[in-house]
Amino acid sequence: MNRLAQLTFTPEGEINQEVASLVLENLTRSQLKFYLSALRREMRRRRVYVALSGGKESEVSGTISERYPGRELSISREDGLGAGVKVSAGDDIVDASVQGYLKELLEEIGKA
Amino acid sequence: MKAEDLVRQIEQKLQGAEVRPAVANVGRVVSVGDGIVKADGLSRAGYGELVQLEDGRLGLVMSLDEDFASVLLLSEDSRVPEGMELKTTGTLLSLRVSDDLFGRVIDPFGSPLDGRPLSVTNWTAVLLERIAPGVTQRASVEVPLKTGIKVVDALTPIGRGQRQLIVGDRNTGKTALVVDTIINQRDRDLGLPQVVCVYCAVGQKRGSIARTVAKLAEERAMGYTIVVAASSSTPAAMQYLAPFAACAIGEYFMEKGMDALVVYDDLSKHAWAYRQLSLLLRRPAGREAYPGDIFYLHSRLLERAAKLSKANGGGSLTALPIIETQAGDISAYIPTNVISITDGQIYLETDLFNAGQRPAVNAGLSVSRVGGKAQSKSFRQVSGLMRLELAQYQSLAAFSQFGSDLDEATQRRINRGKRIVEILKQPQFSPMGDLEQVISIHAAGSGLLDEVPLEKIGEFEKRVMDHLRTSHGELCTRIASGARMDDATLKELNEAILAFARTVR
Repeated sequence: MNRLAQLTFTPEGEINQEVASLVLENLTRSQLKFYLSALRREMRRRRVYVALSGGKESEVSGTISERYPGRELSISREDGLGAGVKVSAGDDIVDASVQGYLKELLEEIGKA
Repeated sequence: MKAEDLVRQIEQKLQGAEVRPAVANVGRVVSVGDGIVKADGLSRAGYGELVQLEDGRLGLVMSLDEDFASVLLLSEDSRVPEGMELKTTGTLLSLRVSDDLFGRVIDPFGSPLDGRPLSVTNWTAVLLERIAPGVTQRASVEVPLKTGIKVVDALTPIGRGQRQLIVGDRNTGKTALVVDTIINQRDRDLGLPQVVCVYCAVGQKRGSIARTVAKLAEERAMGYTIVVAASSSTPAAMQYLAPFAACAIGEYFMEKGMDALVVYDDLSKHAWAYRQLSLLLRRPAGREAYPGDIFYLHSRLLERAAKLSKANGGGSLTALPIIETQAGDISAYIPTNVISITDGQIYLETDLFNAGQRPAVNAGLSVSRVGGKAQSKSFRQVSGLMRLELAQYQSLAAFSQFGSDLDEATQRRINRGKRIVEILKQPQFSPMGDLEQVISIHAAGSGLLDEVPLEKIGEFEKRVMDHLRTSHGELCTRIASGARMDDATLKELNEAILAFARTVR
């Protein structure tokens, strides 16, 4: 399934229509479930999601592109962050936002 | 915690505010069942690492597949919605330990189970899973751990740092034996340092645990004892972790240079809990449906028992694991595993128990591979002779039914053997001191009781110590030192015992 999910994308990052139709026509319901998980993983692996509050998109995208070369960037505005940026790349989340900092602080207080 | 402390803590946290981003490796719950969470993601999680669910609950990573991680939920509530996020913490499971735990009953995470609040001060966090001390960190087992039970101290002596298995069917007195051992640590024999005890109850009924705790409290043993309990009603995860928590507590005291004793009651149920978890984790089942690493589970636990060298503080951790057999079958999978891991075993037999021989120790199948070196010199002197007499009796016992046809020497040997067996009987919750044991064993083993009727042996034993203490006080002091008895001491002791034995005929 992992291999099939990889093949669903072209080298340019587009969906391979041929593979997609093959999948939709031939996979059973339970196989589709596994395929969907694998596809989501593959999407997460290929794409870096950036949530931003304040700051210039161009500046942020430049820095993040350097950090994650060859991966597609998906930038969105999220005012709830207060200020700062939250980057999700695969399973890793780098939270450099005020919201994240406050959440961490509250957890620390909770432990105390 | 005072309000001022909280304010100070927040101020410190705010002062030390760094703009360093929080980095987390996350996953999402795909499926949940019987306390096992299957999570997608968590690509950087390590085996045995703690993960935190969105609602704050913790889990333990138990297996890592190509696409999924299986996480053991560490809470009794196993309701987790699909899609919930969980993140790695970068920490391993640990427990807060300090002297405040003495007298308390706790669960494997250190939460109190005895209904009283527990505030652990000056604590040290100890890891539940640790590598056992290496060869160079250890010293030989040379200091005795007195159980106060004659048959054990004489035939299968236990040393501090030893691993001695207690094996037998249900209702043969396994728990009674370890409870007696814990109680016996109250009175320090031979001037040895105090042994702190950790009693780990796994998969037992809550009522049974409560009875054991009540007995320990009644005998004033809870002052130096910590009880770690995971009853049969707790999730398998708790039962799996309980022995590791108990061992970690014992190690804490060992590393402080103290002598600790950990009782695992029992590892059969621990193996069942691990089998349950392994089957839920879809690990391949092996013999008797146990997973392939069941041996490693117990060996890595018991290998942590050690006597540390002086350079490492000189502390010790003695382990008394208990295994329950089915229909006396000690060649079953788990009993043979643990027999091969430990330094000896005490085998308790149903037939002996029913015949009134209590503790029902089968001397033939019980062995201690290292404890002999730990016996006091006087004890070794008298127990060696008794062991020989007992072995000869056991080989001749089959002929005893033809008593009239036996020659006089054989008859005498059988009679002596019967008296040895009689003197080795001991009621529950009445552990004996070293001096009393030496005198009883010497009296029976050297034939001083040959003329005492069998039914009077118990009476003799009850009264002889009072007599010797009042009329031969200096002799008692000499023997109690634990030094080897010279000919003069032996002669004096023999005369005193013989003189007294004549009065109970």
